[in-house]
Amino acid sequence: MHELPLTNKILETAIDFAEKNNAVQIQEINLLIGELSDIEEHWLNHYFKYISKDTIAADANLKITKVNIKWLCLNCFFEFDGDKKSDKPPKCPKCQETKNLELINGREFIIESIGII
Amino acid sequence: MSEFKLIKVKEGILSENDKKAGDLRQKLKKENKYLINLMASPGAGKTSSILKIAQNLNKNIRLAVIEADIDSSVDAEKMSENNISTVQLSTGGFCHLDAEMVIQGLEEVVKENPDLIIIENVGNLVCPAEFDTGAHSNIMILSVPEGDDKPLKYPLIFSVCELLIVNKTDMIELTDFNLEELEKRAKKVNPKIEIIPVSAKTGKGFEKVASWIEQKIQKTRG
Repeated sequence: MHELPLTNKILETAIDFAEKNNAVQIQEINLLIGELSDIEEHWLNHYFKYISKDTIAADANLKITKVNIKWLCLNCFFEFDGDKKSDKPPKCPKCQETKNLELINGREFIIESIGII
Repeated sequence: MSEFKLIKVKEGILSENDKKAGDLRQKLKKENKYLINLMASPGAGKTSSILKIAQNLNKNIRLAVIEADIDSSVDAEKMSENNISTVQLSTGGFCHLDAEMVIQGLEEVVKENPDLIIIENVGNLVCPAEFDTGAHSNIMILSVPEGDDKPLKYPLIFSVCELLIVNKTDMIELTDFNLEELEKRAKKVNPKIEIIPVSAKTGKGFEKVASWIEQKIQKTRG
């Protein structure tokens, strides 16, 4: 539902960076999206197509890379991957901590780079 | 013909909002005002829970409410009837509140010099979770009829909330809702989440919610 304002922001940022680099066309926009995010790729693409026509980003390819869940154990400072499909709560494989954990990856929503000519 | 170039951007799509939210959080802390962002589905009992929280809060705490509704003022009217200072934000079809909208709402309610401001976010488990409102605590209400599987379907919102209020527990016997199962699933995405079962109908459990909030306010005041 909130894909439209987010898509606007993607377009705005991409055009801003492209213009600073004297681009004539944006060919691709590379996005990093956390696994926990509820962004619908279908709608992102759909809205992007709609709002980008008549801009230098028209027909640009939105390339989405999903970022897996990663935890930081605040007890022993070990970092470990989470498993979205598992029904078990996360547990530090090094010190067995289950509570004092911080989510460090999985909520990203970042424009990593743009491909321009 | 120019050559294809890859330009590093490394910019968070929500970074502008995140910055505004961070600034707001600090500003309110200096002013000794505690901001809570309350999120839930439509019909989970946000408005009735706020009324119950108000009844259970220490009377020295002045409460104000920012109501976000897509296009109505029904909830704000209920708050006013109960003498809670309220501002109604119409999100005009927007599915969530962002920091800028909260800043606008605050302009109105700070006139009453509240100690605690609760934002009743738009009824929705998806969009509000993506946008930092500048709140010091995010609280979510899940009601029993919605089912104990919601953390599996909407992990993000559970991951950003400090407190999960489980409402409508008065009707738990009529359903297959399993509180232990819910806790397990919620802790999977947020091991630190605290859970308080309540009933806005009977008022059960709200003294715990009120004291949770009071402790948070005390903590930030040091």
